[in-house]
Amino acid sequence: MSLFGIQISIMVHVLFGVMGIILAVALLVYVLNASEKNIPRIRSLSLWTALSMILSCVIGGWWYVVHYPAERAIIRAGHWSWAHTFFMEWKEHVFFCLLFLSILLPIIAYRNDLLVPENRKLLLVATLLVVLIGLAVDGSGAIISRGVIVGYMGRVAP
Amino acid sequence: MTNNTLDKTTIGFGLSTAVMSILNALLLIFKEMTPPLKKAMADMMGHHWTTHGVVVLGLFLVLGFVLAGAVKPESWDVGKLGNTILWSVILACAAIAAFYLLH
Repeated sequence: MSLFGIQISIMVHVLFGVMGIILAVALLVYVLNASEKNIPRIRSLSLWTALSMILSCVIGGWWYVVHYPAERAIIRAGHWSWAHTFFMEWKEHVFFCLLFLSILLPIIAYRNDLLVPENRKLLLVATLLVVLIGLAVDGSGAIISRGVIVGYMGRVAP
Repeated sequence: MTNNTLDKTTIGFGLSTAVMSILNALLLIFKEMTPPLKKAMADMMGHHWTTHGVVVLGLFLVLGFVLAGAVKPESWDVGKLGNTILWSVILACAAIAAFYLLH
């Protein structure tokens, strides 16, 4: 794959991750304002959130396994080696919790009566966790990217 | 008419989310503390993370369906299931963070 393709693919991973967070926030708003009219939208938003997170994981996972080792070497040799040893390691494993919760969203939304406030509470808990973990994982990704830059800065201007 | 009993699949996959979040953290800690296991996982699918992902996602799906078939809906209300998911996920995320801070 070309250098351009490699960079685009990591951006697509981030794009789907951020889209998943935005969709989850929209889902949160609709669940808080649930009505009979909103139920189809709540259900489709839960599904799109899950699909977006799954796509982000698949693309990010492929990138992590195939292309990340070169960046890892740069990060670890730089002043921000903790960008890999803490943030990447944390992110790559916490992402699985995010996936479980994302897959759970449409199951709750499609298989339960959402006009019952108690059932909506469960959807709210799962959605809120998706948003919070999603933001934490996204922030970790930003720190990892800065870690690469700091690694390169050490090489050109020690 | 409204139905305030949670569906069995929801309970099964809700519990699977809670259990697998904790197991994911435990597998990670065990893998990092046992280099031969990490190497075996890497040899199995080319990278330890790929094997880790396939194992935990596969178990999540299997456990979800098994628990959905086995669970009694009347013994899991929304509050109990919601709290179980919430605290398991928080505990798992904190355990992973603590492990990498101390490791």
